[in-house]
Amino acid sequence: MILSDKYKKAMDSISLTEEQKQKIIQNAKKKKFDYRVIVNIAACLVVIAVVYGALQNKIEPDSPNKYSTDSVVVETTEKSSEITTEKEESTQAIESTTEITTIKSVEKNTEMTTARKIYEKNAVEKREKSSTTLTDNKIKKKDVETTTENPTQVDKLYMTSLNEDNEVLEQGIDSIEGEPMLKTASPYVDYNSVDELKENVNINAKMPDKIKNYKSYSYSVAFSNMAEIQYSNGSDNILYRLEKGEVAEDISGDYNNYENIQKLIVNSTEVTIKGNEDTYKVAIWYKNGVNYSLSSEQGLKIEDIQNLINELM
Amino acid sequence: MDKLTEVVNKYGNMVYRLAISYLKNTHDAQDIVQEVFIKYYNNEGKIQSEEHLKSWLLRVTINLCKNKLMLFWHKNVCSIDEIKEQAYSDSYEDNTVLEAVLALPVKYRVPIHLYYYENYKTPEIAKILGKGESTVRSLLSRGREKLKVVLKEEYDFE
Repeated sequence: MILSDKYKKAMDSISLTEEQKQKIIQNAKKKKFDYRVIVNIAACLVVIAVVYGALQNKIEPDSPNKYSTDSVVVETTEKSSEITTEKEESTQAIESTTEITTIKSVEKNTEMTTARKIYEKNAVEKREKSSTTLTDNKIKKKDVETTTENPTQVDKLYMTSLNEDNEVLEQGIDSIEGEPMLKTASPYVDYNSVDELKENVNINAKMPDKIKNYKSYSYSVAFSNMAEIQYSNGSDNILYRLEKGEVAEDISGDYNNYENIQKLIVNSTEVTIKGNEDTYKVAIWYKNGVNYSLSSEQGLKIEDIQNLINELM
Repeated sequence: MDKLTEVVNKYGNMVYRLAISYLKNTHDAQDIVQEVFIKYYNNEGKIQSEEHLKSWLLRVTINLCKNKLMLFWHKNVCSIDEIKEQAYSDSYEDNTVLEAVLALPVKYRVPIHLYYYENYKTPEIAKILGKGESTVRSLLSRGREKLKVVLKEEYDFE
């Protein structure tokens, strides 16, 4: 007997019972998947809360000194009525500077991938929080120095507390900048140039600094084996990925359903392009044991995407 | 009889068999069947034709199986899976061929199932799996080669 018949016969003997079918129908109608989704979301939230708590403990260690100095600061601030308008103005100026920094960093972040955006945003927020408190404290210290010619015992205590607080905060900032835990969590390793990227990833393929009018601006390796270069021409961003593989695979990370899926032959290699109407957003191909993908944010005409792929082959 | 009951009766076994060939585990396969038909129930209106429905169900099954295999805890319970797999195999007679196919790596197993059991042609399998035709041909060929070694050319593959 031929093997396929044997396989068919064996597979035919596997079937759902009537009871199982009825259960499936009933569960589908009840939409029981809601329960699973809720459980998954709850599990994710718990994990996030645990990680966040662990990071908070690492960045802001709770020491008894910190609590005692904080209470002195509060008392002193209440007692002292010498906080001038000048201080308020300088605080506002610093706040507006931090706002500008935030806007700039947010603009910069839009060029990064979603996962990295979250990572960067958290780090920036923490850094800002610490630096704002630090500069605030420095202002308080300056005010006390200038306005109090003969410092009282309370003022001395206040200044000591500010010094201690600043030390703690500076240590905090150092630990944020070091960020050993956050760095290990990201699967991406960033490099400064294409050449540096090439040295660190074992893929023998074209990785140009420029493709047509697109200039490269971000170079990274994900999970130690996938090279990723981002290019921009001012109006559109493209993501170029390469990864070694035994068989052809879609490494674009774009799992949207597109209306148009076409096969092209570019330099005798079959390329699959996907898009809607007459613009194409993703191109994938496999050549000499390497999987490639090219994704455009805005979408490209068939001729343009073909020209870009031509440059990469 | 409503549409869902009709579809479950007609395609339930097809989905179940594909899930088994992917996951090699009856419990996980039953979960997948459940999820597939919940998805079908939520997207019932969007499916245009009978042929579209069949390939849609296969595509969804493969995607859900893939997700299941990628789950962290699924990757770390191999030994339990093997026990289940053994129990499952024991319940079928003369399962040499089935065992040999299920022992193949998943990338060969699924194209072989679709080709030899569902009687799909290479271009259709390529579409369902989202791979190139040449890739599917090469996976089928390599899969057959591996089966020949395991079955010691006891059977001819056609």
